Amino acid sequence: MTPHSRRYRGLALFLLTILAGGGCWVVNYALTVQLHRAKVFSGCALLTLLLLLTLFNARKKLPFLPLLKAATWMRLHIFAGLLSGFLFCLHLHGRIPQGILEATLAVLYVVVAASGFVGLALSRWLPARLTIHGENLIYERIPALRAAVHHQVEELVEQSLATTHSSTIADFYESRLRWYFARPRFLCAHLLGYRQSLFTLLEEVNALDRFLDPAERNIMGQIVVLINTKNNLDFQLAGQRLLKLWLFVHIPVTYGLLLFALLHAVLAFTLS
Amino acid sequence: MNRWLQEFSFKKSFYERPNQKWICGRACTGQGCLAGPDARGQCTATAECRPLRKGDRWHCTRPAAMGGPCATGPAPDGACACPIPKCNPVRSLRSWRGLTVLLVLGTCLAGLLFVAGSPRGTQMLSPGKLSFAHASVGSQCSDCHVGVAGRPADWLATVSQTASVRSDSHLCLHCHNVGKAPFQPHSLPPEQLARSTAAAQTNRTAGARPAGLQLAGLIAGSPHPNGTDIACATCHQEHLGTSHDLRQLSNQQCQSCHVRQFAGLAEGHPQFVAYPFERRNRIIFDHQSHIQKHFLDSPQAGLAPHTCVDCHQTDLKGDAMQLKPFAQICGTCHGEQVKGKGAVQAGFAFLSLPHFDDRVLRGAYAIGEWPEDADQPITPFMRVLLSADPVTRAALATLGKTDLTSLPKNDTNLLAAASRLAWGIKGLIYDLGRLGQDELSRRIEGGLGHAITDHQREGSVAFLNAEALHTAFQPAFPHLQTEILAYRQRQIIAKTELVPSPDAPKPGPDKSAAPENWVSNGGWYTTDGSFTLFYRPRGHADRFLSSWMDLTVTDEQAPNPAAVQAVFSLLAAPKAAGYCAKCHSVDDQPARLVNWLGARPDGMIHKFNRFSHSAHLSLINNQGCFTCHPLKVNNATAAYGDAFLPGQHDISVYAGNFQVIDKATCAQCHRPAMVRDDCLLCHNYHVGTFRAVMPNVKMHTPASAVHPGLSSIPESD
Repeated sequence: MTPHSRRYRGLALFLLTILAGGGCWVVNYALTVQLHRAKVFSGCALLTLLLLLTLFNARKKLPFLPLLKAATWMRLHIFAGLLSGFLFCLHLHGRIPQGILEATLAVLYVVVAASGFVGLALSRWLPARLTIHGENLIYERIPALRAAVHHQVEELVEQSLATTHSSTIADFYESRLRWYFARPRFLCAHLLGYRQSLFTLLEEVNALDRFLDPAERNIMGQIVVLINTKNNLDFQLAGQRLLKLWLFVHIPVTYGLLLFALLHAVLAFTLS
Repeated sequence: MNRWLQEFSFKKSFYERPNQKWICGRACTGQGCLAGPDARGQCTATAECRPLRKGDRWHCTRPAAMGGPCATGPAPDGACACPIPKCNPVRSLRSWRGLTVLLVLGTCLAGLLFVAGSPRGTQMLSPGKLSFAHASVGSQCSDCHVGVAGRPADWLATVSQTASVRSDSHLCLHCHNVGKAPFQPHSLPPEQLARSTAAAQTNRTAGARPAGLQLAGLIAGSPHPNGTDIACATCHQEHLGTSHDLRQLSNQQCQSCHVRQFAGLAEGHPQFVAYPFERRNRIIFDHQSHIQKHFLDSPQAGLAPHTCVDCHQTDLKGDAMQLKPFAQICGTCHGEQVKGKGAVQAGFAFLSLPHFDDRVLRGAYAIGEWPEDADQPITPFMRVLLSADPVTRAALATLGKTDLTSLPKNDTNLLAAASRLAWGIKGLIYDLGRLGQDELSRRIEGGLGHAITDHQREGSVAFLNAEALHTAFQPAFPHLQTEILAYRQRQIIAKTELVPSPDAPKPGPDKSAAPENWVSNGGWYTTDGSFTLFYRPRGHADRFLSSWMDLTVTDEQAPNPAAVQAVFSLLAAPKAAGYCAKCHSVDDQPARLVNWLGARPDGMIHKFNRFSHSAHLSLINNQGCFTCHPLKVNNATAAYGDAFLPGQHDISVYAGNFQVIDKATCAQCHRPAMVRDDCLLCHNYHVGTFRAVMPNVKMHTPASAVHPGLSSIPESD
């Protein structure tokens, strides 16, 4: 699919969402005016939509089924989510819920919707940054790759001791680099685009340069490459972890929301 | 410059499986094994490969991604030479997310179970605070909802069987009375609603139906087809906070059921047909003749009111305009007239003695002593009192309109009836003189055929005193007690003896007031030689007149209806003393009654329209009340009077002095972007007469608090 056709498809879905929202508003208006239980309509529509939105997660667990592409599901999920927001407002009818159950339900919905918007924003913003930053890495491989990089640095340090009989690099490694390579570092700074920590480290390496002989300088050059590689590993880790962590809010709270929504529906049908 | 780290060749890297719940504990070090943990998170690794036997030799099968076949190779027994130490598998990110889902669900479920089992769970499940009006009522869900008594956990057993919106609505009726058809539109009986619908269909305005309502009707259909009940919650939404207005409805919602639909008061609302005059006035007052004629006449010009509020004032709520007291308005001109000043006869003859034909009432028909000069007809009051006695009532019926002064000699029936009537009259006067007001009350009740209230008794007796009775009738019957006792003991009285009138006292040097003027402020009186007891009204709101008119306005239970009707006709005559019927109209609907008061708002009567005068009084222009209530112009006085002709008691027949209010007058201000023009501003939904529901509350007083000693008294058998 070309970007052109993708854009048209997105526009068509957006228009479809607006049409569906408009249709819901008209039906809700008609039911309200005719003194029918309009809230039952908007509530049922909202609950149905929530269940459909939840199906996206189920679809992801069944990748072998030929039920449209995941990208299509994602797009449908986004627009259905927007529609659910409109139905939510329609259902509330401009009032802030006052009961404990209703308020909890509303808060859960807001959390789910907000986390969804955050996730959508992240999925639009981070991948591009991750792509242009450096080597794109599989998230699950990052710890092993970091360990390998750490191992390579330690080998270089040992090599410097053996070949140059100088402990300058080893001392620097012990004082500054071991800490850096031991674990993922500067994750928040990576997300915020703050690179001063890396530059400070590299400045220290530059300051060390005048104390090194050519052999050590050669080894230090390789270590600097590994410092940058580790930096990209951390950047990829921070970005990809954030892309996964927002789902720790979105999905569990969705199930809580469904539970409360079902209870709300039962109460609404029996007591009103 | 970065170094490229990843390898994607199957010979150099493994396939990642992030969906698995567990991952190798050494994967983070880059030394993860190929086998990986099992589904329970147990490490299944044993060796780096499973050697393959080819012929008599074992070959290493370690994959290329792990370095390919090892240098050592398998042992002779086929065991791998590179055993893998056990690791502690760790959960994958996906697994942690699943656990988080379970944690959240578990927390929610635990919270709900706590709520379900908690006595205060109902409050937690409440969708919101009740409105101010119901705040003190709904302490329990079951107060307003059927089948939800007890804890929420107990509801499941009952709620599905019994609960429904309509069954909930019946609970509303425990406190709210909205008539006999509470769930019908407007609380009106279906037949009345059908008539209104038919009338509206006839006057349907073409093309004025708002698009929104058309669309709503098209999509949602009729909200409540004919005959179906409307639950209270259809319009009254609860649990929306203490400040929520339970009667809040939009104009479109109000019109959803209506045959005739329109955009607003200024656009499409039907013109007022008879508003605000739905019936004729209770107090007969011709505004047109008074304003245009009487108030301009010189004798009354100084007394005439200058403004409408000189005679009218708002009620306590400020809604209806009421009349001020008689003394402040009508009394200034008509007070003396009501008292009888200048009238031909200022009082009513209450008791009188007729003349009997003494020539034929002899022997068996003798009537004993009878005044020679008695010549008054039997008064209507007296006929009612005599009708209390069955014998006298029968005599009256037999006699009919027979001339008592000339009885047929040979008609024994008439003679006997006349004799019984005479003795009945004498018995009445004797009993009144002997037993007083109690006897009069008893006679009134007997004549009317029903008991009367203390208030009516007090008014109808009007302080009748022995002195007045004695003065009027003692000269007529000097031996009344002896005669009556003998008559009632069946002793034969064989003669009729005419008693001459006593000589009238000679007038003194000073002129005395005539008897009716002597009681110019009301009371009992008699005149010399008339053998009649009169009553003169004391002025406006005389209790004697009002009580007798109230008692005789209907003759449904009276044993002698003609007598009762005669009393009412006498009192309600246009020129009768007191002039009651000059202003106080008589209604036939809903029950026959005399309107002593003008229209008064009744809190129990819920009309379709409502209007607040006080909200508008400051808005009227220099025409005053005529801004909204202009007088009619053509021959209105004659038409107005026709509605109150004698015998015309139909309240729907009327012609007011004022023109019907023009809708445009209201619509000058009540239009969009100016002043509210919603339906509920001027209309009530529930229409009818609804008395407040009074709970059956028993007086509960602890016995010890009443009288400490009572508790020690043993109960008797």
